[in-house]
Amino acid sequence: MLNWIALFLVRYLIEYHYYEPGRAERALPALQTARYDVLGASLTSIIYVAIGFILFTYFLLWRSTIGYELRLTGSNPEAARYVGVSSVKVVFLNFFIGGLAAGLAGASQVLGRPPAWTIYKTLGNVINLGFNGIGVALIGRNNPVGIIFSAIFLGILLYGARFMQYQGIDPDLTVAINGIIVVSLSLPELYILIKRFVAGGR
Amino acid sequence: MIGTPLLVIVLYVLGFFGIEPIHILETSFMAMTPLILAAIGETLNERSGIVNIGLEGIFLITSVTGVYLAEVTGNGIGGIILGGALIGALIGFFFGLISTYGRAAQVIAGMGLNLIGLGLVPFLMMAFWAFPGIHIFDPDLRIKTIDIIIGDHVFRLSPITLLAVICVILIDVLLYRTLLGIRIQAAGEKPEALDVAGLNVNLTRLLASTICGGLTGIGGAFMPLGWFGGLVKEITAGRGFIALAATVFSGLDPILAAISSFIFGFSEGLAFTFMVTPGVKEAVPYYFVNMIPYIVTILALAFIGSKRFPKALGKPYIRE
Repeated sequence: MLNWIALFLVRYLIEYHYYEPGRAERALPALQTARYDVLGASLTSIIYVAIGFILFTYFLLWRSTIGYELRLTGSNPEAARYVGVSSVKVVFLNFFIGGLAAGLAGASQVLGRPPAWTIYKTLGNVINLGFNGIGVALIGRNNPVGIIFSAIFLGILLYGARFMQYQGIDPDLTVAINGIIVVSLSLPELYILIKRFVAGGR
Repeated sequence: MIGTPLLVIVLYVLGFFGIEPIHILETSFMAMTPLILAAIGETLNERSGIVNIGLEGIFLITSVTGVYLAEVTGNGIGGIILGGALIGALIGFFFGLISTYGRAAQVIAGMGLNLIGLGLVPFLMMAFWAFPGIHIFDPDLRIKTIDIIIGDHVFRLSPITLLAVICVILIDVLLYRTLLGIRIQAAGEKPEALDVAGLNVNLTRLLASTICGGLTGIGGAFMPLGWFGGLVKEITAGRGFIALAATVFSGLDPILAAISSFIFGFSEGLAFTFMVTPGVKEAVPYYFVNMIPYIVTILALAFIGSKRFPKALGKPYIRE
């Protein structure tokens, strides 16, 4: 829901306030002083921000009291309530960190992405980030190290999608592949189930 | 109740500003059709204990297959039945399969279904018609609307809208007054009771999920064929999630779900009409008008209070 409200709000802001005269398809590029240093081909030092955020979340979730309460509420809400964890605090912290992460992700696409350093009017470079991020978290089994690897994996998939386009295949197919991975990951012990089914049980 | 007089008053007041009430109602009825179908399908689904948040994915896929099968069969109704209801029922069947026998985490599987739909739609459009982004099909394939002449306005009502209303009554009767409906409710509230009675819980849930998929599929195929007349990537515009909101907002009662869908469809009708009415068009920027349905949905959800959900919702039933 907020997705679409944000979409329209951003399009409004781009069209009415942040437009670049002469270029209709994107907004103003970021200021020179605001851009992150370019390290390699398209890589900028904003990846340090991403790694820093992963470390921050790791320490928050696994090495602090409030993080422990968060994880407890997730795995056993009844026990959390019994122990006295304030569910209001947990919910707020939850949304706060989530919003923090999403905001960092969105900003990194603008401040850390040469050569454009801006948002396109169709929001093409940010539009599926959120949903793909859910897939990354699931493939990474909600674990920081796993998420790093699965993010690299999905990044490779998405980058390869651009080359698929030269063969005539729509690049959005990688989103569908991400979805298929997510669906198959939601099935626990799929192999055991299939083995049991084939052996004649149910 | 208070709803209808309130609606009449709102429409009369809006009429003063030059906004056509007939146009609002017409668009509202069109907008509420997919919402109603998905909402009552999901009501049935959640009553049986499966939560399917992948409605948006089903909408997306069936909108594309609906148009394709309409072109293949040469007939709009064929497209709705084959491309919409049948494909939707298949997707619902597979989702039910992995939720019951596969013991999947239903929320995650639903999100995955959404992703599959999001990714598959542009791909299918390229694959079917070799043209990215948009597809306008033969106007003969559209579902003919029933035109009612009121004064000097023409009120276009689609037969699928009537079908949706009939489905609401059918599902209501099914759920509350038939034996199958009681069993579906039992599968959601206390599946152990159903199992002790000797009935198959998983099959009951599977049936509910298939019906939900079929109804949602009709709604999905309706959007290009019966309403918009063309197909774009963003044709569903999050309506699957709005239908979910309508289901939750109504506390899993089919009639209330239909009424909530009408409210959300009305906000869409309002937004559409604001966009085309000459006086209002310049006053309110196009983007804020488009936000109206989603803001209404969030506000509605913020005020639900506590609604009861079936006790076994979302939990796969495993026989000990």
